[in-house]
Amino acid sequence: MSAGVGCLHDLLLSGSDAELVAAGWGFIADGIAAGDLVIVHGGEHEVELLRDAFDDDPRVVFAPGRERYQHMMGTIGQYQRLCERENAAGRRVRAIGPVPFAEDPASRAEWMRYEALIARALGPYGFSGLCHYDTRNTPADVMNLALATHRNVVTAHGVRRNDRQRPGSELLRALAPAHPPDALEDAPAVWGESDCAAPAPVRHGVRRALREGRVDTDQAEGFVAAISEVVSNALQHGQSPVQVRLHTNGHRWLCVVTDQGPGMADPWTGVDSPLPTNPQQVGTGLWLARQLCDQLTITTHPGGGIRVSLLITPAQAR
Amino acid sequence: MEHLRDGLEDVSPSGWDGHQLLIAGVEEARPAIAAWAKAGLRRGEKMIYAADARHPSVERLVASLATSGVDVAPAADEGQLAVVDTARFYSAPGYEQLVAEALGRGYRGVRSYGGPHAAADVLGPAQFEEFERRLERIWTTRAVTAVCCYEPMMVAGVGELEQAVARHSSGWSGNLVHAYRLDADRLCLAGEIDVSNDDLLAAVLAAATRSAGAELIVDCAELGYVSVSGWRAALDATRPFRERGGRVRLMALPTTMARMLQMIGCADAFELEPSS
Repeated sequence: MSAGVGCLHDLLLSGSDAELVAAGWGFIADGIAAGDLVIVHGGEHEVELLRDAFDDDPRVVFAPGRERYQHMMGTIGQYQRLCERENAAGRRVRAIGPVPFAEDPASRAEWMRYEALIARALGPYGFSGLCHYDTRNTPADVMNLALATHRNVVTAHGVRRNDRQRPGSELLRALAPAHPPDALEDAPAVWGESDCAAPAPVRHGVRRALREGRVDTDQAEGFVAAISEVVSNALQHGQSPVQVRLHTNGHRWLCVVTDQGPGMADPWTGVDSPLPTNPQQVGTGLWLARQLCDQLTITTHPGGGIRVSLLITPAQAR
Repeated sequence: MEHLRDGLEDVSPSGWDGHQLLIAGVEEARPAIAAWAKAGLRRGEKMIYAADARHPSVERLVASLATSGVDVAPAADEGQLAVVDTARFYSAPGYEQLVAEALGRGYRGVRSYGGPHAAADVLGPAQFEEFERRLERIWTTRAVTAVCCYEPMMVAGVGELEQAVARHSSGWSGNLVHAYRLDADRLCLAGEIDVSNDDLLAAVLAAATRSAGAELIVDCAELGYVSVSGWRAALDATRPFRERGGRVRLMALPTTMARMLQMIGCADAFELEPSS
């Protein structure tokens, strides 16, 4: 058994149940033969189809539901950790299933970024992903993105090289959020600090505000930790004044951290794995922060200055 | 789940026993000094302060503690609180005499407060170190507890923090954090750890693992936050011990922190016992 380094990210197109089974068969069977960790995820119906096709093979993890796909950086982090563990044991990780595109434009944009990022994020690992898109109900913009982000196209008729794939870096530039205006910022901040000297007062201020807003403790502490890491980064690598503002409308909480430093050339800082397998030394703070909130966005002002925004929508407010 | 702490307000009184190191500037020292004084009042111990710029007299000491919400005025009136001239406090028979007098008057114990800053006028560095060694002995043989306050600048040099930590065997505190020893194999951590104090955590864990047996138990129930840098510091400081086969058990680590530790891939280095 050999994990084989490298992330393979392919596209499965199907227009019927039979096509899904025919197209997915080889990917799963190859994984079983190689002793890989094979995960089949997605909608109940699709997962059950493949489970039946493989007679509920105990070597395959059949995981109906969206549990692994709650939010995009959480999913990426989970796969990085899973690969870290499985690759160390000599197993490649193989996952087949859909990406959960939703109607909501913000969420749809997040998962488009996921498709553009996953090959980079799992680059140091032995991972094969086969993303399932149903040709009957995939909107045109999503299909275009799918064709731009995968190496091969797998259908019931076989595998072919995808000639519409575009370089990841180019796509990521196009998908990078511009300075995203958020209506929440128009309301006065519920807490703020205009010149932070240390992360602790920020933690205490934000924690109190979240407690008063009755945010669930576990989620609140995750958000506090994420903000604390971002503020520490700004204090260490940025330039004062480091400013923090916390806004809410009672449902969503937005925290904006700014400093006057030259900023980060790469808006995807914090996506690459800081775990030991990655030969590149990257920081852990932002990577963790991205996973502890629903969305983290880094934007650099053309004239200098950097802005990191962190967003959560606490469970009970959903 | 209600264990979110901002700082040190709830460290248990026994956490201030023995020979303790406090690393703090004038302002940051306040909460720790207040907590320490509260513990002394509750226990009916005599409290002796080496006179320094912060509290040159009992009156100034009472006023300073009052701003931290601790009322020691009645205790000061009864002589339970004393500010002693540094020349006497740091002289060879002086300190022992102060202790003997207090115990002779029926106080249940003695706690003293001083530090290199206060001592600088009367003792050279080598003499001060000798004094620290005497304190280290006296608290194990008599009912004496001592807090030594070092200004952060005094331990900023290479290896100085480690040396200061090693000179005090009972407890160590700094901005936001208080660590104290329950016995050779057991450590309690309280407060919050981030980039401002992870070096202190590292020094404490390094010292604790040097004296521990096969296992170091770290009670984390009073811990409110640990940053990524804090976990990295903990990992590095305990590595030599773990590589010799030593185990580090984190008891009652709050669930959010256990989740973070797992996420950054450091959970395997420790044995985790979840909080009940």
